[in-house]
Amino acid sequence: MATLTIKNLNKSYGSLKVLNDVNLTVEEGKLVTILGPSGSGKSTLVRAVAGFVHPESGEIYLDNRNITNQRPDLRNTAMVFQNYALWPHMTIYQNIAYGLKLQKKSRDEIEQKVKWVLELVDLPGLEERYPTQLSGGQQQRVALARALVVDPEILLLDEPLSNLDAKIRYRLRFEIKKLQKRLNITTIYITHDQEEALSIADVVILLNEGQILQMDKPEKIYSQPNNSFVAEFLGASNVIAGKVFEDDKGLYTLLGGARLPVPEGKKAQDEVTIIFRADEVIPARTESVGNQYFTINGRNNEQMYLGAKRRYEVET
Amino acid sequence: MQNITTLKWWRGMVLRTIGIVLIGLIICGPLAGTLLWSFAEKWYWPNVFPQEIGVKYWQNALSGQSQVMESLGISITIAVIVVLAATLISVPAGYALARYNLPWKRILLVLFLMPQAFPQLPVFINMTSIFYRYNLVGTVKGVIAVHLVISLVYSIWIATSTFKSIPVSLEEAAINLGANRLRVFFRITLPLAAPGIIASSIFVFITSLDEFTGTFFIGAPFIQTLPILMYTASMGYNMQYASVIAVLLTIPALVFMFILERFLKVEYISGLGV
Repeated sequence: MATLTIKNLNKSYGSLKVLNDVNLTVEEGKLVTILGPSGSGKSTLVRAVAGFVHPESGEIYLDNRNITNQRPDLRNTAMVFQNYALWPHMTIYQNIAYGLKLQKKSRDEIEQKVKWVLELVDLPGLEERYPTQLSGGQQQRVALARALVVDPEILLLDEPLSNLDAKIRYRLRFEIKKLQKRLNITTIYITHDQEEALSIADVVILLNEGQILQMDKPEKIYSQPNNSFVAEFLGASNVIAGKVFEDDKGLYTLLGGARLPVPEGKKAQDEVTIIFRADEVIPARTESVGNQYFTINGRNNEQMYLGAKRRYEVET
Repeated sequence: MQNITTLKWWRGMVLRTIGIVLIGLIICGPLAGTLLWSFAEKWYWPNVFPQEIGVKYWQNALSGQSQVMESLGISITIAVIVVLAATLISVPAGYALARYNLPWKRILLVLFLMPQAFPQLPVFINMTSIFYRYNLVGTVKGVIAVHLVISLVYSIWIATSTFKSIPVSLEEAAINLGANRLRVFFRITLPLAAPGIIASSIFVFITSLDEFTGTFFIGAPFIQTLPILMYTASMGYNMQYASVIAVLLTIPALVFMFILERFLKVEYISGLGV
């Protein structure tokens, strides 16, 4: 367990900048999710921590050791891959024991630790099976066990649940979180699923085009996004361009007849972006909903039934 | 109604049977002829079947000091050496071609295809003149070299696609846990590539065992491999001898084809389009 610090990390592939001056700190025992669309550089970032990507400039520290140029096999990081990356020619036991064998642990200790970790991921008794005989969810638990058993200083999870179906994904997500807390292990968790990121993280980092757009607690990043990209990525469906106006009561912007407040530092004729979430809206036909709401008038053009909810398209 | 369905069924059945018999004749016919010839002690035109049948030629061929046995020894020795050499070259070469972004990668791969792309005779005639300069003509070394040139086409392409079919993440997972490159190669990559490499070895073995043209130009008349001996025998109208050798040459091919079919997975073939 250690604190990870990344300073001014840069990496390009040809003319494409995949990491653009990335700075971040993951404190000991914290779970940080890196959220971003595909191609945002989130995988590259984690692979740089593992040592598979060599940055052009910048430094990576585990506690106070600079590991930027350390060989990947000498770093004490443990990675879980999206495709599980279990070795198909080895049994589950051999898969998990491999890292311990490399650490030259005694046979007894290896046996004990494999047994312990298999119970930890809730898969006792599967030692002699081969990876292909297991379901996807079980395989990813084995991959997790293989990473945890070597006592890594930092655990790197690269979209660990993307290949699983929704139900298992949902369950495994919380199991990972529970394990992480129980073992108090510093963890970076990559995902492109905003719900997954928000639900398990201590800190969410939103990455786009190699740049960190925002790094905050889940509640904070969700309720106070830095910009429209972050807001949209975290599920705000209504992002509307507006303009700042001024009258004798002060600055305001307009949407569907509603007078909306403007953040400080803006002046008349400035461009603003109005963002609100669908779950913060009450559809009202004619009746008033009280003055704790802004009333936006508009015409309902289309609606779509989505099961638990309904989607309305409203024109102002 | 019932009658029409039955009729249709019968017609389909008959057509299918005729088809299968025809295909069987086309595939097995020549082989059956060869097998028959190898046991024929007397077979003159216009008889449909041999007048006298016996194992005289088999006995002669399989007796200790016969030329067939000597040639079989030479052929197998050459084939084994060619397999070993081809594997030693194609495993590292295939790995490098599959994993690293080598400059000239495509050109290198095409270069290995060259001996197959051109008409074989001019290639071998040119080779003979080069091999003369290095005193390789008429030697086992020379024949091995020719076989190797032909075999590397298969073995390098198969090795490349085999290594390509192994996800890089399997290697990275091992490195991540503390294994160095060499360990990863021997503990993870090579065992996973083994089926493909075995398949390619079998290909190379059979190719070398059956190779005629190159051996003829470089080795004959001093190096008498089985195919060369068969050629000589059939030129001397010794059909029985030639047939015995032909059957002997077919056996390893058949055996290995069965093994091959079990080892060769679809992924390895589909990976061939580099």
